[in-house]
Amino acid sequence: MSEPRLHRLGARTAPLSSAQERLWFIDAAAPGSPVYTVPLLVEWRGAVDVEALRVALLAVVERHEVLRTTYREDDGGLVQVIGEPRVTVEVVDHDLEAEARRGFDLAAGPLVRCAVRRGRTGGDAVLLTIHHIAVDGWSLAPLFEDLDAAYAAAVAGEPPRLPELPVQYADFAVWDRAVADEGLLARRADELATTPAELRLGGAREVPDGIHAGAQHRFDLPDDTCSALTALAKGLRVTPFVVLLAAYAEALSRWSAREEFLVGAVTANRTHPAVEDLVGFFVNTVPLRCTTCGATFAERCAGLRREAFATMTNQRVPYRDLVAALPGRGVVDVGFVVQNMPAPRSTRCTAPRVLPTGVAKFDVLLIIDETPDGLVGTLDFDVERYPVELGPRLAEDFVAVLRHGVSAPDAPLREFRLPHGPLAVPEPAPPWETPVVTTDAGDLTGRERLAAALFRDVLAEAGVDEVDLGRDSNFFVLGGHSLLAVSMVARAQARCGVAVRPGEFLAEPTVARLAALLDAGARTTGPVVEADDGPFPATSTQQRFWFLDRMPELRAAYLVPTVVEFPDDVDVEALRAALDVVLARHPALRSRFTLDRRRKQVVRTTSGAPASATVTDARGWDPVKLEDHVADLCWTPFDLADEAPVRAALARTRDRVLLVLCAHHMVVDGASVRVLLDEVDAVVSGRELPPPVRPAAVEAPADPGDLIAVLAGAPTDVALPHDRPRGTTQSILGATRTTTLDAGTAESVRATAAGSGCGTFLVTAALLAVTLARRGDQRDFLFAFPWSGRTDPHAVGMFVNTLALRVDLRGDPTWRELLDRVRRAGSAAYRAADVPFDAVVGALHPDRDLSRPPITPVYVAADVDGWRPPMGGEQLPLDPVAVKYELELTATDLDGGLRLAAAYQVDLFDETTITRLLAGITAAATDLVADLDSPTLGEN
Amino acid sequence: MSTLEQVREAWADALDVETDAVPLDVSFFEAGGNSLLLLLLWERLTELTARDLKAADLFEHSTVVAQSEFLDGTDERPVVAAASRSALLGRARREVR
Repeated sequence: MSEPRLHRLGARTAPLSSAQERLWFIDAAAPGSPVYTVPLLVEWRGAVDVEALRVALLAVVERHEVLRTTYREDDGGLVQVIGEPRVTVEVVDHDLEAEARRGFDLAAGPLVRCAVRRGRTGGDAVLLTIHHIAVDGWSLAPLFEDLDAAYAAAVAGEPPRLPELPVQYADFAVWDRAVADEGLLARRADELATTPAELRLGGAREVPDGIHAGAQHRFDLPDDTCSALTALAKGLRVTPFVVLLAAYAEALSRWSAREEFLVGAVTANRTHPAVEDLVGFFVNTVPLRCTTCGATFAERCAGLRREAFATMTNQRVPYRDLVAALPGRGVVDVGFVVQNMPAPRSTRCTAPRVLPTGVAKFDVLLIIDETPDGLVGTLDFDVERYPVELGPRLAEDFVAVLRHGVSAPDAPLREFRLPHGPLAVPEPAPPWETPVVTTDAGDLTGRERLAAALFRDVLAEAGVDEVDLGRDSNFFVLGGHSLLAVSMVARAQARCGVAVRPGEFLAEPTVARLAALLDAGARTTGPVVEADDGPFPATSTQQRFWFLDRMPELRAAYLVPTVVEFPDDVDVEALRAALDVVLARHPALRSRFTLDRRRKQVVRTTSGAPASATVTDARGWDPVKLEDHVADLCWTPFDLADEAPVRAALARTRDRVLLVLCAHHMVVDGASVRVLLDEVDAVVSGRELPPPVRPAAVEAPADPGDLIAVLAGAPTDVALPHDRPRGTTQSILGATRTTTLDAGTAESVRATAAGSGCGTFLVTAALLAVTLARRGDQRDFLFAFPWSGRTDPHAVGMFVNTLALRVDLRGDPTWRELLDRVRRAGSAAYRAADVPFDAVVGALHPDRDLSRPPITPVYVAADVDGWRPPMGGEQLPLDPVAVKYELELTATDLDGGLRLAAAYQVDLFDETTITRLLAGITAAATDLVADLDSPTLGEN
Repeated sequence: MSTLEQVREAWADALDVETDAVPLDVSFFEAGGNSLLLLLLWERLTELTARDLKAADLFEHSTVVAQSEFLDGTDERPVVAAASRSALLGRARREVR
């Protein structure tokens, strides 16, 4: 998949980038507000040549189109329009503070203004004020360096010559739109949906949402803390960002008494190399999930490192879109930014300083500036939400946590006490009166009632309760804001299935207008995709199988084919229709899997088109052609990214009807196949089906520690009686040999095993280990075995986990002792049944290769005999079979005995070798039932 | 860039560690890799070196040093465009006989 290219288009108009659009909406909510005004103050050495500055600024604005761009709405949506440079430099003799607190008109422009203040000792001050929509922190170096060069030329009397830019911001905006990743957005929104949104610190007041007054508190970080921070970051292999965030999160957790919350990291988001030196607004707010998991500061850092890495790879998911995708939630109240951008180089003036605008962008924003003199912190916070003491107190607590954390990273954090902690007593909330709304006469229409309900729901979530709504009620007057409006529109879209452009609503934000837009809006195409179709991270078993599917030699082993023969008189058409119903209704069977390279994981969605059954008339076919047809259906791999991972085919032959049902092992296990066939029967006979079960979206984490302790030290291979050596890559071509213990022996084995607390599976494993030990030197074995993993018998999916059983024959135990050992080994394995096989492999067998399965080449399972295909069907054995292990031994309890089926790799074993092995197991079983207290091997 | 440096960088990419932190004589799995990351490493090395590698090669030569020696020893075979699905299937089937 090739990404759209970012290149020079040279157009005069362009869409807004998603970051710009967010600012546009905020401005639309409060036109002319200074919330996104960026006042940049530089102090000149000496006097400014005002005319030279004007000429220089003109050259800079000429070079960077974004500085001469305005923004408006037209029929096609929001557009940015590149205009001619307009520059004025005002000379004033009063303070520049007030200048910093003025907003801009985004539609009229210009969005850059410049003022020079004369009459200060030491030199003039220059205030360059730009709307944030055209500039960000990383823009300052290119911006001021261009200004410096152009000024130098102008002062020398030469026309400033700045080279033309290879790409402009508008080109980025076009590219930004083209690379928008809906899947990524949906996944991220889903991940964040489980974390409670609002974060209120001690002392918070309830205030209406909107633009609030802000204040700043600056503080220094002590030098010794900074150097300890650097050392700790290095030692833990994390960035200073992570260490600082860990301290901030701990302080926030103590101030909010919350264990999980979101912090918005303000990121540079210059993900494309072509935009590194551009002036423009690229930054994005990326919500990071902070938790108090981890007892020590070092553990917190490690946890946040993972979160920060996973999240930062997605830093271009626009915050605006996340807000829209999580309707009714503000997403983040608290922000964090580390400013490590290069400072512009100039001999003429100081580096630019951003003056306070008097308006808060977040409830609380911690800014860490990397300066040549060390780290400087600034807490920028909402003084309507919080008392002014919050600034110095939270800053002190942050520094205290950081000092403690970097000096004692392995000490339990719980024991660390803060000097004072949060503002314990919340101040009484100021009276917040419900806005008075004029209700005009007359009842609302049905559509208006719907619009009013949307208003009410969204406003209620913003803390505005019990609003009387009329058709002229204004969303902003009621306390709504633009991001809320965006979420309301998204909700309207989900509820009514119509698309409404937020801009059209914001132009006239009333109930009547929303109702009119809902009437006029275009129906969105197709059904709204249910949120729980993912994308989700694939389970670790699925990730492993996905890898194996990429190995051409191995992939067929992870197909699960079933062939059922029905009598000739079965209703083929009814069968086909029933198969379609069953194939379509299970989310797992609609799965698609793709590799997310950035996050290094396989992701799964369940919104793909379902498979549908085919019918072939094979009545005229010869047996070879029919066999080939069936083999193709059984062993052709799936394209897991693009097609349903299941197929069903019916073939009418001369005297019967064959069904081949084949699914990838990533989406079914053996029990699922039985569920599917039973459901087909239910549909054919008109019985009602239970609702399909969705597999859990997220795997519960499990700790392999105890299990590893039990298994460690056992050889990670089994010496099997191979007739031929292994190749570099294992073969999956297998055959099956079967033997059956007679009813008498089988009954004695079962009774003896039961007396020792062992079932069929454990006793079979013990018998196999004894057989192998009697033929060779190995005394300590690991066998793989399956654990069903399912909690719902009707679920369709891959729930099975592979576990490892240790069978230890060292010291020649008696049968009784051996059964006791395997019973204990079994319970250790089952206790850790949720630990993914991959985790066990990773711990026990780091030097594995593809010549054989990891940990062990032997698999043992017990099966029950009792299921038959419905509708008089008979399950046909497959030959050849695909094997995942070199030897797979399955024991099945029958009424009249115990069947032992050994599937084996034909490249390694001759049939006679396997026959002898099965005879050995039979002999061992006879010894077991003869004398439980005799030694298993008879070596002593 | 030497082959060793290329391999080391590809490891750093897959394991998400600094290049300097990539061990030279430890197997990929011991260094924290898993099969999925190995696949990413495989893709990255194929891209970097433009050679026809097999995933099995990376299992067989499991350390940075072994992989770079292996890569230095192989002929420069250009990567052939991915075979069609049926050709791939044919190959898989021949190999399972």
